[in-house]
Amino acid sequence: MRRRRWAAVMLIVSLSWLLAGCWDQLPMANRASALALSVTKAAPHAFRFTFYFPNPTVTVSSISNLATEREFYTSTAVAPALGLAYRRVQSQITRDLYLGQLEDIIISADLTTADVAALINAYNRMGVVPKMVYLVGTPNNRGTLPVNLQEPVPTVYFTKYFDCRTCQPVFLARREWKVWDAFETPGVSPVIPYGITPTRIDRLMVYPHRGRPYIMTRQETLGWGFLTNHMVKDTVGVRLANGLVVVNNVTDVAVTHMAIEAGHLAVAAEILARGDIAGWPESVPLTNAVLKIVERQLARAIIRDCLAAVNFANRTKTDPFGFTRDYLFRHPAQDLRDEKSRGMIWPLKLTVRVVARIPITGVTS
Amino acid sequence: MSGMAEPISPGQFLWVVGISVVAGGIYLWPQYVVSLMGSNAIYSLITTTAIAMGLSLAEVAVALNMQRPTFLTTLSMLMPVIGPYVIFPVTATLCLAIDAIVLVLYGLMMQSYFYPYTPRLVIDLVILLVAAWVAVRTLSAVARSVQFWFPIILLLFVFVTVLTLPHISYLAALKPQSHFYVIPWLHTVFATWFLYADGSGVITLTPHVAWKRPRDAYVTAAAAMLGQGTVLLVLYMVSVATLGPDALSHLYWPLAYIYSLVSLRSFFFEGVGAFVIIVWTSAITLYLAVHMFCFGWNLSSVVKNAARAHGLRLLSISGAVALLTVATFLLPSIVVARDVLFRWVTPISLGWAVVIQPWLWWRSRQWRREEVQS
Repeated sequence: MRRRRWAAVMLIVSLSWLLAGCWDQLPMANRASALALSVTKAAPHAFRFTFYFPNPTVTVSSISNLATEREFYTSTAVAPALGLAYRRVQSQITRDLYLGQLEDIIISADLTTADVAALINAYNRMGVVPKMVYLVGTPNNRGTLPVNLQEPVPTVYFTKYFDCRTCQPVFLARREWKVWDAFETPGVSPVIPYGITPTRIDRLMVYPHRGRPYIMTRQETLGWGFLTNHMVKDTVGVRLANGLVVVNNVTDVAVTHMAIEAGHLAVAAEILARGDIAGWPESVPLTNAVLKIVERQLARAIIRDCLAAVNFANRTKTDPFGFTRDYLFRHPAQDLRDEKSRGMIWPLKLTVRVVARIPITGVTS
Repeated sequence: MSGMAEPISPGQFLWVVGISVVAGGIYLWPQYVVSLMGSNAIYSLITTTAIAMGLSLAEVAVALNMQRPTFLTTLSMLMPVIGPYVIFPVTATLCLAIDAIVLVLYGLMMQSYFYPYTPRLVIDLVILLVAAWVAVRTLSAVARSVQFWFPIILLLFVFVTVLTLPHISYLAALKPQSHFYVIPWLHTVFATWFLYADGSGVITLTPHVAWKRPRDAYVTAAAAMLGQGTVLLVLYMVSVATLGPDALSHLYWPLAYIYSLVSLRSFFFEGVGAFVIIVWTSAITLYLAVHMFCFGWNLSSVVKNAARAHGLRLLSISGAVALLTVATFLLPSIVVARDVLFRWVTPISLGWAVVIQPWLWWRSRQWRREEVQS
């Protein structure tokens, strides 16, 4: 009995040593935790990787009189692949380069589809790095991390913005695993949110089968949001004869059906939208008839956005909505699943029916 | 052996039979099937679960007809030469081979996701030692451990799985495809069987349960298989609906990947999905424990002397630990281990079970009739 108890004690003690993860134990002070990584093109086959680290000398009292550009320090390497950049940056810093806390990857718009696919694939292969990092696109050669007074170090502006679902009129946040998933799945073009300035992120960057990404206009991005149920709160202005009506908090539920018709992928979308009235012209009495007109105008505005988005897809031969993917899930065509036919296979033909409702109005006239 | 065979309750039987299948290799599910069948993988899941239910019913019938303490003694009664010298060694070897590969792959998965610097031998050996520690006890002690831990494992599993639900985005991928293909279906049915291979543990366990009616034995065994089938179905749906069949087939451990996406910034630590390693480690430990327990008990049941039987049992469990440890060295990489499992061991194991179990059932029925007549 006593021997058995001893065996149990020995087992528990050895377990706690063996399985505590102490094999790779390293104090936090000896790690350099990169919070963001930016990738821009440096040469035809080389990229500039910039790792952003929170400045360890910042304290709560010093943060108010610290210049914003000193909140983070950077380390840069020009390399043909992520793994090589990792090694070069590691040789420049005095602590262990650690990517376990990475929050954002900033991708410049001059990277082609093949570049981004290789980057995402390499990142996704590393077993222990977080797959929940946000991806964001910026104009060519401006892969900089926005640092401003809103979010002092160690909070990263992009992370804070994308974490806040209601901060985005269209929910554009894209996590790494989702983009990797889109790269691996036939019938969908990967999309990444794009900021024309670092703090104005309201468009999408769409990756075609090959070449550089296309950037949607704001209207096309709105259409994408309506068609893929990513709309959080749009605002639409409707012009009546006597003035402007503003409808805000516009959200929708879209249900789509796909079928192949005469070489096109025919998409039938049913959209049920709703919104609240925010502005109403003084001189117009709010009657049922006028409200119906406003609802109809709102529906028309949504239709225009959706058609613009589908026209964008047909023009650029991409499918940012994943309509083709949803069709292929049920009707897998083995010959279409190779590398060449990734992305758009059939032109899209959209039939959209929008019902708009304004159920709540706080004013009478 | 009298102390060993203290009867257990039908509820304990349910948990023990449940953990002796699926629990070990659950982390490998459903990549292989989906990579071959896409959204049609649901058909092979249904088929394999149905076969598992049918075979477990046959095993219960054999055990109730024969009423011998273990599988090995049942075999020596039914077929004095072929039984103990051919059927038992082959069944045990196939079961141990599946256990070995499942354990090796588990160590590799833990290394690639959670413990990159911990030597693989440490992970495997610790699991084996804890499993052996449970397996050397009596039947009722093993049953109590399983009865205590398995519901906790299931609850924790439900908790982390609910947390992965917000990532679901491809409900369209859950519907089966418009066409059904026979060859990939057969292929995946053969390759999925490792989840349900239990080395005829049901025959060993059934006689030691205090059944009110024989019917309860059938219902309980079928319920255990169906319950584990439901777990597989839930995991299939979550993984396919989250990643889609195409991206899923590019990952060796899709479930570990999906659980690594669970991150609650508001919780006091972010990677809540890491709870799943508690679930899987305890599941594979108990799974190995039940298998080793049945193995040791079977081998020792041929000896009449109680002290000697106990010694033989300890020896055979230590032998199983040694064999599984050697397997850790023999299978060098994920690619090799998966190839051996999916292309060789699992198909052979299913072929063997499908031939042997019904045959045993038929023989035991004849034996029973002769017994009644005489």
